[in-house]
Amino acid sequence: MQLYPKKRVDIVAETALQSRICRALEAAGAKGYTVSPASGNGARGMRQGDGVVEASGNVLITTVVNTAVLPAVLSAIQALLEDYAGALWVSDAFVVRDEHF
Amino acid sequence: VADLLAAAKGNLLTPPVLFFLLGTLAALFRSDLALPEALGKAISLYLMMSIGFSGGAELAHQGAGSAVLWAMLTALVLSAGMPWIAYPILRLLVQLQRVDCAAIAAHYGSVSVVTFAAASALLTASGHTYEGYLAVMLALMETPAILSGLLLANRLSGKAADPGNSAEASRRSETGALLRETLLSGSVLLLLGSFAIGWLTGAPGKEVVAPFLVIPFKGVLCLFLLDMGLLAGRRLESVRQVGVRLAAFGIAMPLIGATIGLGIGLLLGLSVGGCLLLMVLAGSSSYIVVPAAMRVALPKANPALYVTVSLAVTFPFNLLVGIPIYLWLAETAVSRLRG
Repeated sequence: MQLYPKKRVDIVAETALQSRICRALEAAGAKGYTVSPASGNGARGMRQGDGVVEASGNVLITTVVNTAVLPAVLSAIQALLEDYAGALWVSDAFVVRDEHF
Repeated sequence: VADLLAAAKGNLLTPPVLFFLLGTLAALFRSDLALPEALGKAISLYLMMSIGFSGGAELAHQGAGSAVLWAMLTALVLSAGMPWIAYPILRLLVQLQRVDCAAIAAHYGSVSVVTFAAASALLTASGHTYEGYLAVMLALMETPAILSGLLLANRLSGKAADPGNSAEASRRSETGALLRETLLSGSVLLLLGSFAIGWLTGAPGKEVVAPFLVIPFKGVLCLFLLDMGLLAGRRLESVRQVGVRLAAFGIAMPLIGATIGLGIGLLLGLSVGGCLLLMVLAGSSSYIVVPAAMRVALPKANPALYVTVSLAVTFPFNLLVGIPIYLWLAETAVSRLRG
């Protein structure tokens, strides 16, 4: 089966940033993304959601994009993460349906 | 004073308060007890639906007059005004940074639905009634404080703007979107909507939904307070980090707010129950709507400060100590002034 190389971007950030990150991803040329709740340990120590206190929750946002739009995606997200708890990493990914990305 | 002690004991030995303490202990002992996140959110929606509906049904029973309009106006002014009282206290006595003071001040203009629920449960248990429109005041007091907090932080004026900074520009447009969202936030909509439904359907409507919306209220409140105890207990350690001054503010501010609430309640001619609930509204602070809004609009404000003081100092203080004091004050003031 033919596989097409893409870039996968994972972003862990505060729930407060979720809508802004998703909008920025679309504006930068990502054609889709996946959002899941997240908790874990990192530069700001243990971060876990408090349920009712939404301000302390985290999300994991994953998107797969064409290499050409990666710089735009990275700079948009980097600007948003300033002042917030968040992390971002990029890895190689391979997709089957090229036209979806 | 003997009355006050008896009232305090009567308040402490009730299932809602004891479940809160159970949750706090469980968190302190690092038990694995936890409620699923989604359940906590669902219960908080249930409480708002029940409070709104009961208030509306009560108003249908009592009849609506111009008092309702005055109450609504008062609620808006009180919520927008309280941060302007809290801010100078924070700035001068607690001596925090401007943006932190503004963020914390916004919390104290807004309200805690659960504190209101606990106070209303105590009222019904002690045979007091209250004006149904207090539920509308609860809804209207949730968000105007956010606007005041942003004004205090200079977020709405042009001064803080840096035109060359695109992140700053996106954040400013985000502030506008945030205001639109929070002014019609889900909790405000649900409270007002449930109130309208309770008011429109009145006693017959109440009879239909009472088995779900009215009778289980106190049991569900216990479950929610268990969860709140877990959340507050987990944050108790952070109270040491926020400092003695801010912790003292977290106790002084509800007392100041409750005193203002009592004065306004007496001016509005509210019953003892109504006065108590208005004291609770003015004396409580938000830990759901306002922290979420502040995290978006004032990212430089430290969330550890405002969530901790609101959730781990003011909320337990009001629940354990504040409400019985407020009830005693309201009873004393109303009986002295109105014979």
